[in-house]
Amino acid sequence: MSSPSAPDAVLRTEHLVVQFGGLLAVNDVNLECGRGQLTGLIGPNGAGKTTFIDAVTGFLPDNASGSVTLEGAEVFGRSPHRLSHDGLTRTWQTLELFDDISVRSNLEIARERLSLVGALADFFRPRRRDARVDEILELLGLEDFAAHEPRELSQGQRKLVGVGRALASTSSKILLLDEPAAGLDKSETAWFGEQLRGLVDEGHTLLLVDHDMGLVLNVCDQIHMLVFGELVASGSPAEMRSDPKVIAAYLGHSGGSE
Amino acid sequence: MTERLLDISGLHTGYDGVAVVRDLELHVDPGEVVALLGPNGAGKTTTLMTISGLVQILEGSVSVMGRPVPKLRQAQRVARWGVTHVPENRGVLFQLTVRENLLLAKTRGRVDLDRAVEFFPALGPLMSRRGGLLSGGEQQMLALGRAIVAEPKLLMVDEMSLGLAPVIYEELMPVVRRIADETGAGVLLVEQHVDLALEVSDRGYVLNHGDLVMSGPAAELLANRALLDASYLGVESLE
Amino acid sequence: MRNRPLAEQIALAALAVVGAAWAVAAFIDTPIFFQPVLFGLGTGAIVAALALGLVVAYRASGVINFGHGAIATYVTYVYVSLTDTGDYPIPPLPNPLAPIEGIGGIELVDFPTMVGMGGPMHPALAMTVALSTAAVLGLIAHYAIFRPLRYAPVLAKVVASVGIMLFLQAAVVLRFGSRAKSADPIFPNDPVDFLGVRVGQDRFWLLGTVAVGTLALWLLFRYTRFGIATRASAENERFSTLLGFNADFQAGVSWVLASVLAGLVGILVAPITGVTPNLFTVLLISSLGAALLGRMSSFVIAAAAGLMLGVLDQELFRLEFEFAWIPDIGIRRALPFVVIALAMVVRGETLPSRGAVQAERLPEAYAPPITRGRMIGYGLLAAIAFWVTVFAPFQFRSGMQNTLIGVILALSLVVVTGYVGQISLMQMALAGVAAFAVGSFGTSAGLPMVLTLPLAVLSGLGFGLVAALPSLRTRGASLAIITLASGLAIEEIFFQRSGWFGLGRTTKVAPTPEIGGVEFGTTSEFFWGDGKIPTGAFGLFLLVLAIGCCVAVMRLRRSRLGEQMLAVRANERAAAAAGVNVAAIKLSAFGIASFFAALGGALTAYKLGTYAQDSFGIFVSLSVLAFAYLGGISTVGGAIMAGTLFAEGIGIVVTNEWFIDVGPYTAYVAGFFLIATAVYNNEGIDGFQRRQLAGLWNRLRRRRRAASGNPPAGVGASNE
Repeated sequence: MSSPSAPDAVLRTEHLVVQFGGLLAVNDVNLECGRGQLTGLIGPNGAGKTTFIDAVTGFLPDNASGSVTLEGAEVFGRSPHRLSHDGLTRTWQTLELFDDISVRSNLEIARERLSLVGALADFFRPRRRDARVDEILELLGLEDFAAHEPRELSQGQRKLVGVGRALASTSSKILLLDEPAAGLDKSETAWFGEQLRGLVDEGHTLLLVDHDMGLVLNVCDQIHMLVFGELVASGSPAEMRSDPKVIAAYLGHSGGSE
Repeated sequence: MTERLLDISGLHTGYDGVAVVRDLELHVDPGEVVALLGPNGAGKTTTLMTISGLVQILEGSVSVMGRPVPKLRQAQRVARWGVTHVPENRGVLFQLTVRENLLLAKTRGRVDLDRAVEFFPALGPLMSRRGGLLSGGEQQMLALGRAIVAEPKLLMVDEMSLGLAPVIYEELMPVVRRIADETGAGVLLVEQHVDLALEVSDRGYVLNHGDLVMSGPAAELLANRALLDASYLGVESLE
Repeated sequence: MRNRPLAEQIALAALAVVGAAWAVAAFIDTPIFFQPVLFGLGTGAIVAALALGLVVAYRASGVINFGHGAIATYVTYVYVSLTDTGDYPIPPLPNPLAPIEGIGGIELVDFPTMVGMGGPMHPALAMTVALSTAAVLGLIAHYAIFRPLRYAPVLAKVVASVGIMLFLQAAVVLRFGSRAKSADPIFPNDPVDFLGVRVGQDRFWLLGTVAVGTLALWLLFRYTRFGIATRASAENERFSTLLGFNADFQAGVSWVLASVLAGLVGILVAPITGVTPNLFTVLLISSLGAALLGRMSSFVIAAAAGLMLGVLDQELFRLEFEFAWIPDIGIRRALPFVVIALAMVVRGETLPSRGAVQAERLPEAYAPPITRGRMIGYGLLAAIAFWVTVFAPFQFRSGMQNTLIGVILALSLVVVTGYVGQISLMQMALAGVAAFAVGSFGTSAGLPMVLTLPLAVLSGLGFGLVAALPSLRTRGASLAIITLASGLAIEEIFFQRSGWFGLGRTTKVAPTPEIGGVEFGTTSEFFWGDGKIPTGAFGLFLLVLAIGCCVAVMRLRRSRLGEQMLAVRANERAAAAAGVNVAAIKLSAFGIASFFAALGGALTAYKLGTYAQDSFGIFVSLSVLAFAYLGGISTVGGAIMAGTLFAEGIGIVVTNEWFIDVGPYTAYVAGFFLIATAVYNNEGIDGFQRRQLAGLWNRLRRRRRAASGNPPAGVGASNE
């Protein structure tokens, strides 16, 4: 299947629908994430943002329908671990780190597909140090904590471990971040935003889901807004800031009326 | 000095020892509707949970009718003092019928089901339907109806408008005012939608990132529109 | 939203089909077809009644109580004892003077075992006392065990309830022996003619009681505020708390109710069938199936399914007996397994889970850093093990052999339960498959050991992988139940029959282990040691294997596979998102675990020489889990600890020889400590001593620092 437009879109959804019983949680969403861009997805609580990510990353096989293309290839319907190997990686709102293993191991797990032979070979040869993991740890400023277990870190650092784990995936093409700033205070959020911007400058493609308007407006290149599962507004941060629909959704009044 | 219905002073609260709300001062008196406003993630829900005893106080004090909020294990006692908390996801039990949901309004004594129907006639024909099969609007009516028959002294409603279409929540909001006026209960209303909430409130507090950034009479807050919007959209003009 | 879950549909459909078939059959020849039905209703009523109690406890606390049958047993024995002799049994308590007595070889006091209540008691009074005992047991179960475990991982809850089972059952055996007991009838038992069949009327009374009980429970949960609120708490504890209800109190009441119910079943049944220490626990497996069909929430379906199981069992028995063409493959015995498999695998993760979040961590899978000091320590340990295995007096050598096999068996649980978090209660069944395969391949087919041992291990591995398939769709307590049922099915279908993996009704014989003509059995001559049996030869072989297994699991922990296992244990969804193939990881863990279990089983066969089914039964599986958890479920050190504690292991032998004879108390004490471990220290003995040592070391270091005047710098300082 060839994609007609925008060859630089890393991720594209077409007619993505998620239905829970009678409830349309995501309703016919068409969305693109441009290469090397930080795309924002905002919306009030319950708008379907996390459901959107779950559907794209294969966690809702029974409820989702539509099309998801990754660099032009259709990937909808693949299992989550397969999608991860394909380069579609994500973080979780509630972090979901692996608490029993070191930060380094948290990242290494995402590094390569483990074959039976590979697993057996581990018993007989020392493990190699993965240079890419070192790079990512350094990129995120976590190099001093590689040997620590995640629970020994601060909340902000733990968020970064989540990001690092997603980035470490063999061939991460796009990273979907689900409310990474939740629970961070103002200054931590600002610092976290800078880290994300740094990743984009390195050439990574990111989709940021967050309800912190300040963060999203400050760091994203392109923003989409979901309300009741539908994509109601899209545009640059400046456009979104003055869009009456955005203001209405967040404040409950239309910006022009006063 | 008469006892305040709800009195919060110097409150720090949050999870795992990390404060999500810092240094909060807030009070509610009988018969008044107070709005607690702020963008998502500001700490509004956490504040309500702390009042209900479901989140541990880190510092400061919360007292309801002069009694300090008990330890986590004893949270159910707060409800028995006459505090009714309609949580964000409405607290409707999906496996129970509407009637059963309403019966749980009180832990003992007779529950006047008719009163709920008086406020929300739509609930009448739904009595034997399961909570999970109701529409969002009907669930919210059930939640408010249950709060009404509980005859609370302090009613706390969290994000009533969440996931509801405007026509529905615009109808529900005035009910909150009515409860306060008719029963003399104090109401603490958590809302994202500023206009909606301030329309029915006497006073308001605005939280952002866990800090109290504004407070005052509803009219005063509405007059300060620009500042209010700024606190929501995260524009840097605030300190 | 579907109105009826699939299992309910299945149950109802099955009910309808069987009912119709019986109606037709009964029309043709009434007595023949009704006889099994009427006989089966007796057992069915017990199964149903136990299922009701399981549902009560689950609805109020989300715990599947494997100890439910044991509570019934204990209370029944109390009742029987009271009506029989008027003695109230005191649970065995630790005698504080025992160590002195043991060392001194003297008896200072006679610790009381029974309190006389003045002769045989009137049944009504005895029932009151016994049921009060049940109520107290329920309170203890809730307040001392399951309330502290409210936010604990499912593993801890399962282990605690297994602990209750072991503890109470052992208490019964200690106080009353393992012989069957009976009591005077409570229901009138004159036979009546019913549809041309002559049966004791007591089973109709029993049936009626169960029906009334079901109705009462249904009404309680349907119409009372307590019942409605309990359902509310089960759905969302936070919501019910906001409404002013105390979920904790509800759970306490329900535990009492469930225990009293269990006791009542036992007391009413004892006169009809008699009671043995594990009768109700065996029946409990059927009850689990019935309760699961009712999704652990419907009393009516659970009770109906329980009755059906009883009837089906008798019906199958008759059919097998009557029609020769029906293969005698123990379908009847495997019935609970079939039902459970139907109820669970078809629908995957289905039990209504409680809204509570899992706040507490699973036991840490500690991987000790490899330092020179530690390597020296390991070397020393191996040297001591070597000396004991070869040169120590014979009883110590024998204990050492049991320990070494126990270590391997415990390692199998370290991998599957400790590293991947999947609870398996069937490990000994897999061991049994391998053990019987040793006899078949080695003795019957006459293959040499180099072929027999791998073939036997592969057999166990194969069974394990097949039995693990359901694990891909279930987890937690559901998985525990299905592995328990799988173990039982393997035991019933294979072990009791002659064939490659069974032994008919006799014992099996293993050949003397030899490789290349060199024999090294327990009786083979060996040039070291005192020459008494067991000689060191086989022990040395075990030692080499056990060390190999320990090293392999330690390496596994540090390998990528091991880390992926821990990732799956921590969070299946996140692991999948990070690219881990969760299904493959679980299967490989079950594979590795089956390998160790099978190896342990095969070695047991070689060690025993002549062996029977009872070394590999379902209760042995449970106690293996108990010891593995007690030692430390998630570390190799824990497995070694488990091995020493193992039945007749070196730790027990040492205690027996040097201190007191704990033999009869092993299961009892293990049950107690298992509960304590689950509740207060989920890392077992290994984790406990590691933390103590670490604490000691830190204190020493701080003291030295303080002495040298250097303030401790940086991170660790504030951690007090």
